[in-house]
Amino acid sequence: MTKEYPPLTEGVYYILLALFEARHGYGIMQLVEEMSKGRVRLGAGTIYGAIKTLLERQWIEALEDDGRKKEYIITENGKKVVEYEILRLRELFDNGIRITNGKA
Amino acid sequence: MKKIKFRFFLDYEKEEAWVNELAAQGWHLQKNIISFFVFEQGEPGKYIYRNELVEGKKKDYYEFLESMNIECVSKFGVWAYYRKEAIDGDFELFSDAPSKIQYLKSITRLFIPIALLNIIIGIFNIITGFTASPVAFMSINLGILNMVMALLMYVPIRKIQRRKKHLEHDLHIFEA
Repeated sequence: MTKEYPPLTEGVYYILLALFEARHGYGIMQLVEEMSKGRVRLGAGTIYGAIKTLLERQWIEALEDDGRKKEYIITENGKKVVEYEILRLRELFDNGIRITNGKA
Repeated sequence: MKKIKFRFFLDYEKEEAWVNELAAQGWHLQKNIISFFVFEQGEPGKYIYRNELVEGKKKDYYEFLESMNIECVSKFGVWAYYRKEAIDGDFELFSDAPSKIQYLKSITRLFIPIALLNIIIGIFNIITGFTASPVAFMSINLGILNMVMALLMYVPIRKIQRRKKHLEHDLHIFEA
């Protein structure tokens, strides 16, 4: 990993994961809720704001508009960010398990 | 059946809670123009309502909400009301602290300059009122009105700042 990124919010992390396949807003919300077993329910305004920022950063891109429901997909840059985040989360996880002896 | 209610709120969150209370009783908001609310009777608890300050929001935002099964029921000036069927589960526009803070900031960015402008114009009007101008009486009244407006705006501004501070404080320990 050449470049360091600050930690992502839970919402952004899950949105990026959801966009490994092309999805529209509603699809993102549904998948994230499913992946987190109902724990993470993203608000429409939150998803909209995240999509706008992620588009600006070119971590995701919009697919050709086929009418109302615009679909988005993750870019190579976005994938790198996710990979970096997974390494960071693994570090957190491993250290946690090591120190608590996996009692959690 | 329809009914029209007049109700003035200083706090938009309290207004939203009131609209939801009525929705729970079967009165669903159809139109809201400042303090006038038009409700239509229907199935109690069918919808959850949310309001939002939509200053600067473009068409694609409403289309996005629509694609999320969120219906924009009323839009007047800078405020919009949305509803979503309660059967879909909880309905919040903003689900994490960073986006909530961002939203609160967008409100104060609009409110604070307007309140300040009222104070400045109010002072100007009152000063004009004390000169021997032929419109002195009107100027003083206008000036007082400006001051009242500023005071009325100060209440929600202070509440929003407190909410924002609270959220920002939590961000020191929590990620969202």
